[in-house]
Order: sequence, then C-alpha cells, then structure tokens
Amino acid sequence: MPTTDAAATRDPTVAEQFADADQQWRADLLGMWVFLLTEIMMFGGMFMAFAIYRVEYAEVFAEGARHLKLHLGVINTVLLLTSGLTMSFADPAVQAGRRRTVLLLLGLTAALAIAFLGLKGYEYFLEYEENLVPVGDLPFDMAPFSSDRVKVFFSFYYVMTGLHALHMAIGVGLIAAAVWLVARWRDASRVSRQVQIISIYWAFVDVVWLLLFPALYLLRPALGG
Amino acid sequence: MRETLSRILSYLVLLALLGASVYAAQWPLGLARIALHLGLGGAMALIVVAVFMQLRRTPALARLFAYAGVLWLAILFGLMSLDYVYR
Repeated sequence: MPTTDAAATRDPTVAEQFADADQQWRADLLGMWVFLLTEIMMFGGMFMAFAIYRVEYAEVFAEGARHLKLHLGVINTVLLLTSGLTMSFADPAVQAGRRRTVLLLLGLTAALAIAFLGLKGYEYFLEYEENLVPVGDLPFDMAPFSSDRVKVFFSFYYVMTGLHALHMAIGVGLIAAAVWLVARWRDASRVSRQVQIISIYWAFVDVVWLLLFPALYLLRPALGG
Repeated sequence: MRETLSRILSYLVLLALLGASVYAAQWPLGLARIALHLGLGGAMALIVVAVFMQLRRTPALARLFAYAGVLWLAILFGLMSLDYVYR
C-alpha cells in the first residue's frame, strides 16, 4: 500500500504534519518571524509614544536622560553585542556537530545576558537611591525639575527597559532549554532548528536595545557641559 | 570561515559605531545630534538584522513578514505623526 511505503520511508525526525525536514524548518522560521512581527508592533507603539513626548517635553526629557548612568548603559550595550556574537556562532557549531563548543557558546551567551540583567538591576537600585522611581508613594526628586513631566520620562524609561529585560530573561530561559537539548543531542536537526530560532529571537532583543539605548541615554545635554 | 569573519567584522563595526555615538554625546544637543544618534542606532540595528538574524538566508515567506514589520511600523509612525502635527 502506498501509505505504508510512505510511512516506511519517512524521516522519523520530521513531525507528521510536515512533508519533509525543509518544510518543517521553513515553518519554524516563519512562526518565529510572525511572533517577531507582533513584537515589532508592540515596541513600535511604545517608541512612537516616547517620540511624541520627547518632542513635547524636549528639555525635561533631555535632563531626565542626563540623570541615567551612561557608563552602565555603554557597558550593557557591549555585553549585549558580545552575547549576540557568541549566540550567532552557536548554530554553525551545531551543524558542524561540535557539541562542546555549542554548550560553551550557549553558556557564554547566557552568562553575558545575566551580567546585563545584574547591571541593569544595579542601575535601577542606584536610581532608587537617588529618588528617581516614580512609583506609588516613593519620594521622587530631580531638582531643579520638580514637575510631573520628569516622571513621564522615568515612567517610559522603566517600562521600556523593564519590558526589554523581561524579554532577555525569557531569552535566558530559552537558552537554558537549548543547553538541555544540546546536552541530550538526540536529534541533531531539531537541535539545529531550535538553536537557530533562539538565535533570531536573541538578535531581536539586541535590536530593541540598540534603539532604546540612544533614545533613552544619549539624547541628553552635551557630556561635561 | 567567510561567515565567521563576517560576523566578527560586523561585531567590530558595531562596537565602532557605538563608540562614535557615545563620542558624539559631548556635542551640544540639537536636531543634527539627535538625527546622528538615531541614525547610528538604526544602522547598528540593521547590521544585527542582516548578519546575526541572517535575513538573506531566511526563506522568502518568512522574510516577507520581516518586511511587513517595517511596513506596519511605517504606517504606525506615519499616521501617528500626521495626527500629532495636524491635530
């Protein structure tokens, strides 16, 4: 019977709803890009709202940016770019069957991401100590700017960087899942697809930060001025 | 080997662009500097999309969704800007 023949010759690593491994790979990538499209629209809306307030309250927003820790932002950007590089090497290493290299690269990526999150947390703590957290009854003071407009800047700052940090934390979870898959190494093609998809997600997290960093940290009065 | 080199070179270019953007922060804040910071950030984002997200090696249908993201962003930014300017 034809169906029995087809079942007998079928690649056992391909899920039953797909004709072949190539179609499964294409579907996986498409799924990730559809998801990223929704992410683009979510972050896009936030950037648009930020842009309008940045124009409307230009002086206050520039002053708010001056109160952010630029050096910590730069270090975090370097950490994130480096993690993007290590993650981009993971998929080729999977395809070359170098399991230990993949584990090392994924471990490095996760470590850099955790360092980023740790530094971000430290930055939040410093801002808390400087009374720059506009939440509830917490004291808020950015002399000589005491208006509520400063709170708008810091609200954008915490929501945008917080949402980005949440995406990073999810990314670290995905990388941990990839480490587990690579450690088992039962199905090389599946491992390759998963690592590639996580790489794309991770690069997207990079992209969001590369746009957040100048918008929040760099649109400030001249350094040393 | 060529891809490895391309990724490392892209990483170095990204660091250089980051350095340039931070260096420019010592200039007085005006429209030109704002455009420079956002332009350099956009260029860095494009490099990451092209090299680390491997957009060129992505199947056409998935790439279409990536381009659709840009299109919808343009619609969002365009219509919102028009509303803001003419309201």
